[in-house]
Amino acid sequence: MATATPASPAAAPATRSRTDAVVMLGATIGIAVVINALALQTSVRLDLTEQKIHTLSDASVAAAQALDNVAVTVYVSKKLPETIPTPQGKVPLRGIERSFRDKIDEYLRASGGHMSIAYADDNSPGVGTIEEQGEAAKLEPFSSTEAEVTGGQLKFARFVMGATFHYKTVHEVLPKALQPGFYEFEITKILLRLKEKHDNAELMKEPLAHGKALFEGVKACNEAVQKAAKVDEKEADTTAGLNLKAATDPTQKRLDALKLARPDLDKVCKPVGDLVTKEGGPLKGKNQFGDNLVQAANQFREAWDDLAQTVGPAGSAEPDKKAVMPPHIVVPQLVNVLEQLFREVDRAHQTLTDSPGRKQIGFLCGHDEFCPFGEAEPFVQEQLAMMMAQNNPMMKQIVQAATQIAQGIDETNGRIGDNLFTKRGYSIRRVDPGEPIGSDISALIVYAPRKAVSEYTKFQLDQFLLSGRAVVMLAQEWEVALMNMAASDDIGNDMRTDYTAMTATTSNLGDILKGWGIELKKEPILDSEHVDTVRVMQLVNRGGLQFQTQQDFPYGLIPVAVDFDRSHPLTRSLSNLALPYTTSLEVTTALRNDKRFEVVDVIKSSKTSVRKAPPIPVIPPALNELVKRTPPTGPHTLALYVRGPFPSLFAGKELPKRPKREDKGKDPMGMERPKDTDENVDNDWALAKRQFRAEGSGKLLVVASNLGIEGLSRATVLSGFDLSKLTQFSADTIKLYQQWQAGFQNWQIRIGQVSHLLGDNLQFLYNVLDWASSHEALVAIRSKGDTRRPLEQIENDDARRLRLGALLGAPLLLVGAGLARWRMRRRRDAALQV
Amino acid sequence: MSNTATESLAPSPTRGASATAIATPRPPRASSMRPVITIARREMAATFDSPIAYIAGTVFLVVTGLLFFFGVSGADDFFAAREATLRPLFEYAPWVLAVILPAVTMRLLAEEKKAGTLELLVTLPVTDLQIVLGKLLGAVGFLAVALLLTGVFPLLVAMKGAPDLGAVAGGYLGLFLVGTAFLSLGLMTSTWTHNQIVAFIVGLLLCAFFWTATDALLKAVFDPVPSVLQLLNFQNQFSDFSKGVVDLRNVLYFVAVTAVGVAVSTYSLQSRQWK
Repeated sequence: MATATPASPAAAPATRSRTDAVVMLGATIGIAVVINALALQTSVRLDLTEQKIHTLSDASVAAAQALDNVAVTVYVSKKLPETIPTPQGKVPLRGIERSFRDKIDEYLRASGGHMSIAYADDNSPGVGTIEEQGEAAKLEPFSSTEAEVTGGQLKFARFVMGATFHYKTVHEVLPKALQPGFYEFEITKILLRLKEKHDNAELMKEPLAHGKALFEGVKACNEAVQKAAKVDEKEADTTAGLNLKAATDPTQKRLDALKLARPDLDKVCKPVGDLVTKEGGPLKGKNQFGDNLVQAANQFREAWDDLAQTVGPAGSAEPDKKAVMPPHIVVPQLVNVLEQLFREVDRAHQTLTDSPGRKQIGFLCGHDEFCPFGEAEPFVQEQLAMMMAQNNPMMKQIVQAATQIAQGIDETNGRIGDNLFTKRGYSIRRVDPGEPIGSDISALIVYAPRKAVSEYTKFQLDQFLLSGRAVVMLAQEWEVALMNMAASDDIGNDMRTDYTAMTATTSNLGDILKGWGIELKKEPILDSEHVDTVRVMQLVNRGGLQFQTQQDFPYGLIPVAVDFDRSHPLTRSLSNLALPYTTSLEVTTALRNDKRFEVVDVIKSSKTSVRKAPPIPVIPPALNELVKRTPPTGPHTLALYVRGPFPSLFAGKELPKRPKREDKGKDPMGMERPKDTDENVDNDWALAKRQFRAEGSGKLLVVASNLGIEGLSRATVLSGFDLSKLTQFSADTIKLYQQWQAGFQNWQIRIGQVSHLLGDNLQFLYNVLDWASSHEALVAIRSKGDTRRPLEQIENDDARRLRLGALLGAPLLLVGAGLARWRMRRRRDAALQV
Repeated sequence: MSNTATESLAPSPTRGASATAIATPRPPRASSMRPVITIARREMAATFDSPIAYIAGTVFLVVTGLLFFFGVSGADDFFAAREATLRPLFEYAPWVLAVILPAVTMRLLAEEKKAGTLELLVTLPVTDLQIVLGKLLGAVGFLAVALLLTGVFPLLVAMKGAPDLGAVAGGYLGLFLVGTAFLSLGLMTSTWTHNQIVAFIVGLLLCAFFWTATDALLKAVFDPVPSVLQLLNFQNQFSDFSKGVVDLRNVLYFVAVTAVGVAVSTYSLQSRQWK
């Protein structure tokens, strides 16, 4: 104890001090955790960005407050991947869940109690996983690159992140929320749409009820068929006994199962035919969505009839002797067809349910313009083609090849329309020349026609504008072929890949616009400084092998506009826009000075731009050389907005008559088309005269470029195709065939050359569509998501210099300061030594 | 040597105190921030008197610059992307800071411990907390200079385009906070050992853990990782800053990490008295 006594006085404060320190440390950590936990419940944020891109805009707040009792259900997979693969590369998902939840919470707060939010979970028994719940709610699942082997199969994990929005009787879905920059746009669009849909759903109550009844009938039939056709192969194997065929052939088992269930199936599927008549009758002819549903349901009914006939009555064992293939082979195929047709019915029903209040945007077609629809008519009438090819097998091949190209064009156009517009919630409609423009079309897009429109179409456009609706015209005055394909002069050779030319289109948009005081200049706009690049594929010879490489060249024919009117919603938050092969616009002094008109030069080229009449070399180095030599004439107006009381182009003139429609026999669905007569034409003419507007207020937007999106049409690609001239097979026929092939590939080449611009340009196009269909609030919000700010075009040498300066400048400054400090210290030390 | 701070703060009666002073009661201590600032100033001067500041600073600027202009693969040419953004800077600079800053903090207390000057320092009328805060602030001074020198990148971008200055300011604030949190972690490891190399390696591992490895390690334990634990990851907390959003939750998180680092360092410093 002798040693313990002196230690005691020192040990006591040390222990106390240690306890104090531990308490202090624990308290600090505790306070830090509590403060952070409390902070998680709040969302105090400061948005430092110039355009407040991370803060809800007034339009979004107003949209959130305008609806009462909106129920939002958010679906977020519990374990999101780090990245997901996309065509543009891997997209990181780090922190995306929090961004999404934060945005939803922001709306909740902004709504002032008008919204409620629930997060889907899988804690309750029987509800399924979040992914299953999401898929049932029509969310779009996505996969990562991570895969796992389950039951001997490689399966990619599926995830969901999205939400559903319910308001009274209507609902909308945000299927996939993977772009935080566009959350506000998407959610506000949904809120606006909910209101619009609900307000209009009352007017469509009856068609919607008929549609629902028809859909439910088809659904019940399909479910019964699919359930009956689903056989447990293992179970059947063990119970099949000695019937080896039944034990080993699942198709036979399926047929047997369907036969067995036939009486039950008849109960649910036979009424589908009656439903098509009873519920479909009132739907028919009301609107295109109702027609589509009836058509799809009718096809389903026909498929059911086929299936019923193939299966045969319950208990019958004899196969249909007339059948080419045995029923157990055909039946599974028919069951699959039924499922696919049900999906069509489901889709058509959804479109009908979604249609109330949806604004239609019309795209004018038929003049080699961008027309995002496949053609309904077959390229060659089958019977005619067969007749032609009967005596000439070579001709048969040529016709088949042309038909395949035509099919490729139709499919491409259809996909473009689906992916660019329909899937993004735009309801687009084809407007064919001579056909009436529906009153439900709120905006008409004339997208870069390369052929002149007829007098009658001109009249239709004129009257559409004067009716107070929006017309958007995008012009394409030049066609630029850079390293394109072309038929070889010698038919024995491959196609040329170096075809380069600049040719004027025969569009007459300029004439139409002239009547309203707008001049569409024919000369292209070039630039030397504010330009984007063109992507050219080149064949490079290395070591005797040919490689295809791509190279980007700064291109004077793709000027980048930098001057935007900030007062217009279309361009308020645009920072740059590259306009390939653009020309320019001018307004007459009379129109500019007319106080009744609002004239806005929404987009202008830079001061260094040049308006230059051809000839213009198309090859990049020669073109850029020319631009550098030519004195600038900019800025030039590249897009123009005019609103006001437009005079009719036909005031005081004889109105054109509608061209008589060709007799095309049955439509693609096999329905007889009513024949057009001279009397019909005269009646329509008389009606047009009665309804003629000599003046009317409308809004017109003209863009002097096609934004890099060139039209793909049968007429352009398959130019020269004439069955009557193909009777004689010659070298010209081969050349013609090469030209068609080249035509289709050239479209792909040209799109590829400016594909890097399309992202920004499409955003602008969507702005235009929203603006045209009176969703101006959305225009400004969408632009918030586009945070890209351009850097000036910098020559390689300059870039090298700047890079070197930035890389070495700061370190040299630091080292220099260090050396100066060292010398000062040495001098001071030396002075002290003295 | 960083014991210049010791010299200026020492009142004459205690000057030259030896290791025996540990057991004796300390003289009354200055309670204001003045000692902290004095220590910080002296610490910063000591940092810039040693070559480590210039080596670390140069490596930081050059590596960050290379990553800014070429990306990790060397194929992401900044000028070819033609976007007036500082995103690459805010994407890569924290990685470089996670390596460089432990090199700056490794000597802060480990060196004092090894040279024995820490014994002298703790006898002065300053609290352990003030010593730790002073040391941290001195290192923060270095961080501020390093970040200031990266100003050449926004300058260049502003010359050739129009970057969103709000987003740039947010990004720099984030870099400053994440850098301070790294320094705090580095300082913490510096109090644990006499050996600077050990302090550097442990500091580096700790910074790397918080910057990037938390997700992977947590995933090994939890599947899926609870969202609360995901918040431990510095990258998750930093991403909003680089977009120009200053979220109170993120700020508080970095402040909390720094505070915990300071508290542990203080505790570690005090623990010497209990041996």
